[in-house]
Amino acid sequence: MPIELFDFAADHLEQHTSLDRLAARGALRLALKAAGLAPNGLRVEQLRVVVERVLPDELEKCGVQRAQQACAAVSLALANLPASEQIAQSADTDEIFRRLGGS
Amino acid sequence: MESSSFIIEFLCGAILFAVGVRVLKLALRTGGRHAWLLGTYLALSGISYGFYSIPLIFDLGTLFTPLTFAGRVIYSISVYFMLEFTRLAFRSKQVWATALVYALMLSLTVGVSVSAIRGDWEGYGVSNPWFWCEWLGYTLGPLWVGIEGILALRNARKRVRIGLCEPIVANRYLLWGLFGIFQVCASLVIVQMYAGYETEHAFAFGPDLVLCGFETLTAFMVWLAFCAPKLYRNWVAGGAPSVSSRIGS
Repeated sequence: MPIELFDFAADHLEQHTSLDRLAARGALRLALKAAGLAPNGLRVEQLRVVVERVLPDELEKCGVQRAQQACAAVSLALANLPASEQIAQSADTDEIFRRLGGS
Repeated sequence: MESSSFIIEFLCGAILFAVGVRVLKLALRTGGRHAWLLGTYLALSGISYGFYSIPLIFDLGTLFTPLTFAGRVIYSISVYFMLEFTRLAFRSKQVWATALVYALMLSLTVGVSVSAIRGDWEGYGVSNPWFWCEWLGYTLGPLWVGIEGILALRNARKRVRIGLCEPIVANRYLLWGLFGIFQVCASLVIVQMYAGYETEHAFAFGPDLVLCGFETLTAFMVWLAFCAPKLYRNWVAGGAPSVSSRIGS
């Protein structure tokens, strides 16, 4: 059954940190905003990059200890997510504009 | 000078048409709906420039009104494609965007139809209230394009920094946004031009020149966005690592 990637990542973040559900979702939202992405329609690769490169800073701002390790665990969980459980995404705007240039 | 400005307008139309054909060829190869919509918009828009400018360049007399009307209808149809492209590319899941597309299409259709029925076939009668109905249709559409392009650029720049978006794609948003903004500027100049035409039966030199400038800029933006030479693409990329090499690293 397909799942929302944002919910999946937020649940794993909650498990691997001292944050409660609301704070985990908030930190993930802030990381996505800083990366110029919206929670809806994410691809696994995009979310992994955000979790690995942007989320650690957001977690440190929230006073989370061992933020890097927590993010690595969330990223690994995302990487192990079977393709059948990911919601099929329509082409995003970046992909549309990339193709329109003939590249 | 007047006829040279119409020649420039014709050339801008030719550029839009050529870029449109290129995008349509891409659509034939890839089958992408977005490419079909954008290519059709640009090609029809380019054709309409021809219908507007040819009777003025060659002083075709009696053919002026029917050709200008044809250009007006073709341009209005082309805007339908632009609106649908913008909705699908940027706001495919938002109900308000669908409502906006239908509202602007209706505004254009009603504006062109009623003003023509009332005798203004060329669509130059700014004293006619239906002119404004049509004007809103072809001005608010590009305004939306400009806003979406600039908003998309803002977020794309953040993604470029972490390797989730190619710099050329972010640059394409910028060019597409500028295209929309220059189109709006052209629409604003058109009002002054048409107001002069209604009284003098000739296009004033100043606004005509400014319009030419904006049309040249719009054609240049579209060409750079969708047919940029390799040199330009390399300059924008600036040696940045490719997106695929960063994702999953």
